[in-house]
Amino acid sequence: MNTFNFEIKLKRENKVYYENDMLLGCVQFQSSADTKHEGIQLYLEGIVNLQLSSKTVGLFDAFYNSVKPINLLQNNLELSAPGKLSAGRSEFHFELPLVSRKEPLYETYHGVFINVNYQLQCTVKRNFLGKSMTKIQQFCVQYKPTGLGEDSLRSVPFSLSPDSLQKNATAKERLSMPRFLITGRLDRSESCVTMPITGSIMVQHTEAAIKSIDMQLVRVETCGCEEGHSKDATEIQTIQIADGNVLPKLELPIYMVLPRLFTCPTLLTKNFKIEFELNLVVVFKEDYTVSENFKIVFKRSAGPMPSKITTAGR
Amino acid sequence: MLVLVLGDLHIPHRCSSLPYKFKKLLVPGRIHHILATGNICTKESYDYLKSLANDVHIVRGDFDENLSYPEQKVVTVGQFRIGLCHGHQVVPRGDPEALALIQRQLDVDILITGHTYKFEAYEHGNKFYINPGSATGAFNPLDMNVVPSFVLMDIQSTTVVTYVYQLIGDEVKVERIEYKKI
Amino acid sequence: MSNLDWVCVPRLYEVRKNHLAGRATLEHPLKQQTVTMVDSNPLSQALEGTDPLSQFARQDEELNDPLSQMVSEFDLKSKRRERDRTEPEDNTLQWSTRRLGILNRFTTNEKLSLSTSFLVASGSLDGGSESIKAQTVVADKTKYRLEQLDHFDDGTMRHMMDLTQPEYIQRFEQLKQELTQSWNNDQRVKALKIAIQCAKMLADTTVLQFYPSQYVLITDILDVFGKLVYDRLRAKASGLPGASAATLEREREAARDTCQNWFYKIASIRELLPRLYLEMSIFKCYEFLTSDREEYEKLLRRLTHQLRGIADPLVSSYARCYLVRMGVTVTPSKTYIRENFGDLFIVYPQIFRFVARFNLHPEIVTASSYLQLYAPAFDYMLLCLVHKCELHTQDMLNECKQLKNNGAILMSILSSFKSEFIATNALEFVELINASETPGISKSQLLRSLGSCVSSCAPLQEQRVTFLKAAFETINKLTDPNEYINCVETWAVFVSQYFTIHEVNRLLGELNTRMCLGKAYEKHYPQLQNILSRIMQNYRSIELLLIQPNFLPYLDLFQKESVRVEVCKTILTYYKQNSEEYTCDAVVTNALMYLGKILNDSVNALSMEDERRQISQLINVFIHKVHFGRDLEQQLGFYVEARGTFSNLDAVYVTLVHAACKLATRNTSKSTGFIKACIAYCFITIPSISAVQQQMDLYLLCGQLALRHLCLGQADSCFEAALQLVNELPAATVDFEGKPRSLERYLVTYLCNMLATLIVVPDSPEQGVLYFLRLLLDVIGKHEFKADSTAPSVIYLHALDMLYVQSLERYPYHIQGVVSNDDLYGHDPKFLVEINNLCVQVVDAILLQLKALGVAQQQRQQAELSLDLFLRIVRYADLEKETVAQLALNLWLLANKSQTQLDVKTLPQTLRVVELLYKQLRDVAPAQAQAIAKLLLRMRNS
Repeated sequence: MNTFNFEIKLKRENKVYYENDMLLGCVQFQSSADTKHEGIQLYLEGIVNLQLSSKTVGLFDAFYNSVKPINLLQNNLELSAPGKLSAGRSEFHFELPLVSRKEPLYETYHGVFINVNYQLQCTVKRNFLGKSMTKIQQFCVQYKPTGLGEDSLRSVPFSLSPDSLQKNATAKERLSMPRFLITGRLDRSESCVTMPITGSIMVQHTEAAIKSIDMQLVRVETCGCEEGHSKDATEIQTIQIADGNVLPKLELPIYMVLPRLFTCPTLLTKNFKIEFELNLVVVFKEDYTVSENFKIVFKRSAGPMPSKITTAGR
Repeated sequence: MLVLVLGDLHIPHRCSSLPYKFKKLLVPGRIHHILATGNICTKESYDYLKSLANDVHIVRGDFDENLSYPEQKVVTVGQFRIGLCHGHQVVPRGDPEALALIQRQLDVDILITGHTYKFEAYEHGNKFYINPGSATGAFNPLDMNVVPSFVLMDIQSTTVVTYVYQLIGDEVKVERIEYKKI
Repeated sequence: MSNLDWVCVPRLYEVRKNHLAGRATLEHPLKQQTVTMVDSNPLSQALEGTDPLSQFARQDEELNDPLSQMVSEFDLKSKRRERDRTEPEDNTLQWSTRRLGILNRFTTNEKLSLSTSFLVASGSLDGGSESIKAQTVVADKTKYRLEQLDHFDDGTMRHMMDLTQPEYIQRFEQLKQELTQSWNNDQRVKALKIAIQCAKMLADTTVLQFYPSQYVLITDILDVFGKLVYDRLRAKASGLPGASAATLEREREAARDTCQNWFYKIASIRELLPRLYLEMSIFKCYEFLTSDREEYEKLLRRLTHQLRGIADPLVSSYARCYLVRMGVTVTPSKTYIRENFGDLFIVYPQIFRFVARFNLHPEIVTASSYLQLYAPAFDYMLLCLVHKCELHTQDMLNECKQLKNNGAILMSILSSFKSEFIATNALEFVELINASETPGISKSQLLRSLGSCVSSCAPLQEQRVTFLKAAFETINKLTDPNEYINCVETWAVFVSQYFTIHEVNRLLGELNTRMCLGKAYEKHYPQLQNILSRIMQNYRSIELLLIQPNFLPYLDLFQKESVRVEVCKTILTYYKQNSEEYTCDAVVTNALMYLGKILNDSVNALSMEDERRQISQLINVFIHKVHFGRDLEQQLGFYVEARGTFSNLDAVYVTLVHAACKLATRNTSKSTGFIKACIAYCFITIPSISAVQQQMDLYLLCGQLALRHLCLGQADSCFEAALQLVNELPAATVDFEGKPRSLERYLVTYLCNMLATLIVVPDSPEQGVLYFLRLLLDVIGKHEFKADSTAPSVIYLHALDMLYVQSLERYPYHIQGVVSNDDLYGHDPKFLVEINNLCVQVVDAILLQLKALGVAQQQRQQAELSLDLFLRIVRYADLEKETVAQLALNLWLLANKSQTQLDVKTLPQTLRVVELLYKQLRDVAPAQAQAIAKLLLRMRNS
């Protein structure tokens, strides 16, 4: 029986590309016998997929269900006219420029409601009896690193106390609260996706024992325009900074490595937005919780990190 | 094959230990077999011999605490059958004819005995007789002039080269005697 | 019975001993070989490096096969070498040497619990139930939210309660296996999860006193995990041998990638403690990401700071310890360790809040044992801090001084800092201890520690006295006798090692006084014993110790008899090992006698044989060592005293008799007075020995000695006494191994020995001709031998040997100065007649035996005995006498009858002896030779 196989190979091991880069690679065929085909096509595509969250579907049903994917990149290349692949290995090399049409090439991103995806698709057409065969190869697009803005140098001080808590507590509630003061800072409000978020926190004093201090990373995805939009926040990662009733006046570091697949540079377009926030959560012994929210802007300022999609160190 | 032959130590009653100069020569690991003619006396001395070589053969002397040592023993080293006997049971003491009788009984090529506290090595009727003397120079109730001595046999196929170590004054004198099996 | 016409023939031939000529030689097998090392070029040696590490490295290279050598060469390229150099060169910092100690020290009887999703109680592990979710399903929640590695509330979690300590340890062992197995099955995420779950359990301090062991067990697993990850990356980065440079580069890139992924994965662990522990466990892997030494430092600092988030001081201390443990393998820097201590000192007061609580609730754990829990972590971190680095020692000490409740740190400093440092600052340490008032750490504990420090390395000579004084001022302030004695226990080594006998004596005196108060000694025998042992082990002169005024009174502290005996044994054992070769000091001797007497008196009828032997041996050792030089009289006087003192110990009496004999041989004076005194001493002493056999041996020895010194009367008494004992000799005795052993062979050889001696013993005018031989024959005649025993015949045969020698004109040996029978009788015919008569008597006795053997169907023995007798007749008797010749012939025929029973060689050999004799006599005594020839003829014809 004829075994026939092929795959799309990219020249770059880490498959990370910038806008205007040339996408180099080849399609490798491996066949045990001569194989007839009706032509081989290579299709390059970059698409933003927007989806509505179920919460908001009722309201904007008609409008948003028709949200169309946004096409960022499209290109077609015929690798071979109809003919025959001889037995053994055959290779078709290709060169495709990554040039955007009207919108810039956004970074590859896989979110809940928003997906930015780039891929190459190779199709081998067969005669009417044989099914066409396709193979897909995804690749990543990243922004060229740029310097961080002014904001990156500015630290964000914060302070938590019963008084600092906003409206969500009544005056009476605030009175019955234990007294505490927690201060700290984030080293910057704008930071690079490949670098950890740093800062420090210090319990100045507290009446009630602390159980845990956590840092939450939250992603906010917005689809739509001014007239109506769906906005959804998802918690991406929570890490603990303090475990137990830590000693007052001891400076604790905040150190959070950003999860690569779930973060990207903050993205604001007219059709959709991807933003990030941080929550500092202090849990007291009686499961009494206070939190503070920070907006944070991500950029890409350092070179590409290998971003192969892996789950663990295989 | 190095065979150490010694006996009549009488430690601790007559001597507190082997002469220092002898001890210095006797380094563990060089000697393959030890043949002791008896009067090792205590377990400590036996353990000391054991520390020099693993293969230790002992016959009982008249002052050995351990009654389980045999009276006579035959050990084969290379091509030689070697008989071992302390000699206090020989009448008259050290008599060559009496020793020849034991040699015949044991049917050995070399007969080793002690008890006279005098080194001796002689041939008689085509057999080899060795008495290593007393290694400590312990006093002999019947003879006061005892020279500490022991013997080392180097056995190579049909030849025995016997080295006699004697402590004369404060010096170790070594003599070499060669004997060939016919 | 027979009318045997026995006449001894003169020995006319000479037995030739062909003495082999020896020549002096300097070459012999025992010669000390002096090996001269040929030094190769010193320069190249320097380049090779002679430090232990590179030596090891070389060894390794030598050991490796070519294949692995290639790998290691590659490793060298990839800067492994550089890293190796920074590794500790000795194993001081190796954790493995400590873990067992911790496991043994921190144990619990309380029930432990453990939570894991990877073990099933029954042990049947369901291999398939993986909790990794397939990532292909788009709707999967893990797609939207980071999968939480440390979140296990999915029902698979099992809480194992009420585990005993061994069960708990076993579960962790299982987890370790499960982890390795998962890894080997390519289930890396599962392996990681197991590691995380384990690390989580380090937050559990419910069974406090077990925590250090819990830590050891869990970090063992983390170590395994870390090693698996590291080795895998290492293998990946090294690539296959022989790969192209480009491939290698790609492999290394991939390894770097994978490594990065590990750190990402771990960084997302929600909980702080497992997150930090996991990062630390694979800390070594940072080498795949950076080669910058400073980068390591930064990472270690960051972790140090993050650890502040762990509130529990015990948990955080151990986490810090783990950080240091990982850190020392990658960098020699101490800065981060110092920083850890900085943080630790901030948290330190927190520890004492717990101490205060446990002071109120000692049922949970006592304050002191709570503090003990910290010791392994503190000790190890301090050790790492000061290992091969002096930078922080002084500064740590200063900081410790400032610290409130500094006892726990002080304790760790004492056990981890170099003894040299402690010695230099010894006085300061005394002050510090004096000032330290830490709940849970007593001064005596600290003093104990200091004591063992200065014992291994003493302060400078000029400071010692001041230091000792200061230290003992503090020690003597301890009011609790228990604390006091525990303290002195460690200081005893120091005092006895570095001070004069006066200080040692004073120490003993203080102990005497202190321990007598309220009979405190009763409760502290082990410590008191230990102190004594240490002093004796370390003080230079044991003799000097023995004569100290406070030494023997110290013994009085041991009121309990069994302990006292034990102590005496210990002292004498040390004396045996460490004393001078001889002692002549009367005070020393007295002290030894005193100790010996206590031991002697402890022996009674109920004492075990082993105990008796041990005690006797100890006493014998010192008896051998007491030596008054030329003063032989004093020496004998000592033996007399010893005899009076050690009346319970046979073995000591034996030693005393031997000693007196040896003393006699040292006599140089012409008069025999002293020798007589020695022999008299023996003669009185021997009867008190209970073993007949030993009595006989000693009588013979003394008799020989008396003979040698011409004390004929005394010799006779000894021989007579010996012979009189023969019939009291038991048939068997019990040997060392507890087995019964027949004394028959002993008796035979003993009497042979006696016969050989009797050859030279002149007849006493009072007793008639050959009195002792007659006595011997008489005794044998009466002695009950085992039925069918050949023993009497063997004795008779040798008696015949002896008699024949008596008949000779000149005996083969003499004792100088002793007129033996040959000279005494001058070959008198009357004497010869007596001999011949005795010979007949002996031969008759043998013939009786032969007959008895025949009756008992002992053919073989009968044949052998007849040949033995045959040979003696041929050699000794005049064969021209027909009765004799006939007897010889009959014996020959008798032996021949049982020919089949004999060794094939026996008969021909016997014939050869006769032929040889014939040849020897042919020329010197034709008549005698003729008689032999005639006999041979008759033998052939019959």
